[in-house]
Amino acid sequence: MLSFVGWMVLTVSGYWLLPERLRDAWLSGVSFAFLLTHAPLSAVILLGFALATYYFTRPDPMSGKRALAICAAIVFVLIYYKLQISIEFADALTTVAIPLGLSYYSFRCVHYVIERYKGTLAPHPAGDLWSYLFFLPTLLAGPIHRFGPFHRDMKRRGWNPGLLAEGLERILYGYVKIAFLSNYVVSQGLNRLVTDLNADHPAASVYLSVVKGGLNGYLQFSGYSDIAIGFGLLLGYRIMENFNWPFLRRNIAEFWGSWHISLSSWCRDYVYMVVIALARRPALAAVASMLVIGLWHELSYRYLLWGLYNGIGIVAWQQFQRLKPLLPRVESPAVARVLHGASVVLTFHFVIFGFVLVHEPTLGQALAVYRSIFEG
Amino acid sequence: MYAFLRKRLPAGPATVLVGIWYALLIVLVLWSVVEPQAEFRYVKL
Repeated sequence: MLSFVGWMVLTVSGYWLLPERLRDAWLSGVSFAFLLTHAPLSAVILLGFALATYYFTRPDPMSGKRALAICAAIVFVLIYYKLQISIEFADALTTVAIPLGLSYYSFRCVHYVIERYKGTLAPHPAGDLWSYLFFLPTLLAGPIHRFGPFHRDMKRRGWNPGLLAEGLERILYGYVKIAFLSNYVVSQGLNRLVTDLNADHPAASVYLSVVKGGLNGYLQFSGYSDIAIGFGLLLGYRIMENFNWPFLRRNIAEFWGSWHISLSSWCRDYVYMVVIALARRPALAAVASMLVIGLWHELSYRYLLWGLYNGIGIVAWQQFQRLKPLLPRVESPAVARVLHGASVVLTFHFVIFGFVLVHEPTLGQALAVYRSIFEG
Repeated sequence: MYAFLRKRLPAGPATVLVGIWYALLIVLVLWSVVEPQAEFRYVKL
């Protein structure tokens, strides 16, 4: 963390001290130097992606074959490294790691290529595209922000003390979420409770450890997103939000609209809408999107199952929406509030029980967790 | 946070509440520096 804080201070101070014409080059240069220092392979891959994306997206209009070729090449590299990880995990040799940030920047490149092909983005100078791809705040853990808003901020930016204060506040929130709420309250506090309950109430103990996993996942990931968004604000860029109180949502579709928003909206635009256009079947599109979201995290049967589980959840919710008009209308506000609360609790449990599939090393162990909770 | 409070409260109470809020956050950050179990570290999820 400290080394990243050092890079953050270097980036922000250099950025605002330099003349405006040098700022973009400084930002891309520092990001490249950071990657080169911490993950040289990733720096080389991103440089290759950036060059290929720029070269292939220059013609206007851009041909479908070009778009398909560059997207296929990017996805191939992503799959290649994700497969390496899966094979290494299978052999119990866990030393190999995916090139830093590859999952995020490959999806950013695909987004840019598709939008260029669709004509919603005009061709841009190499410097603009490179500033977008080599943007340190979002390089490591997202969000998978979009080129359009980024480019608008790039053209508009200027010294703004309000954004600076907001950025520092977001970084503070991220830090407190990770260090205090996740690492201390949830990990230590709930751990003690899990251990105490283990002897007399094993089912409650396993249930609490599942809740702990879900809460930790949210606090850690949304904490990193807060830091990335805050870091972006310090540079005058408003990065898209990645979380919006996901555990307070009433159904699984709403949950996926507020959890890892940058990835779920990417899949909505480039998987869900494509499947809808081709097959006109919302259920198939929902399952396909959730499978991509699952496999984006890791190419393994655990994440495949997790994606399928969430896809089936969304399909069930879609079917329920069709039946809903046949049910009696709730008139009483008190009953509506109770139903709202019950929906939130049900969605929360559906989600955290789904996380068991990916938190446990094997399906057998995940099933053992379910058995411990429901059979005692 | 101040903008959020200011929309719902008069300036005085909003300023006091935001002061308490930031003081609490700063205490938590300082405490996380001295409490090893609350340090900033990556947890493999």
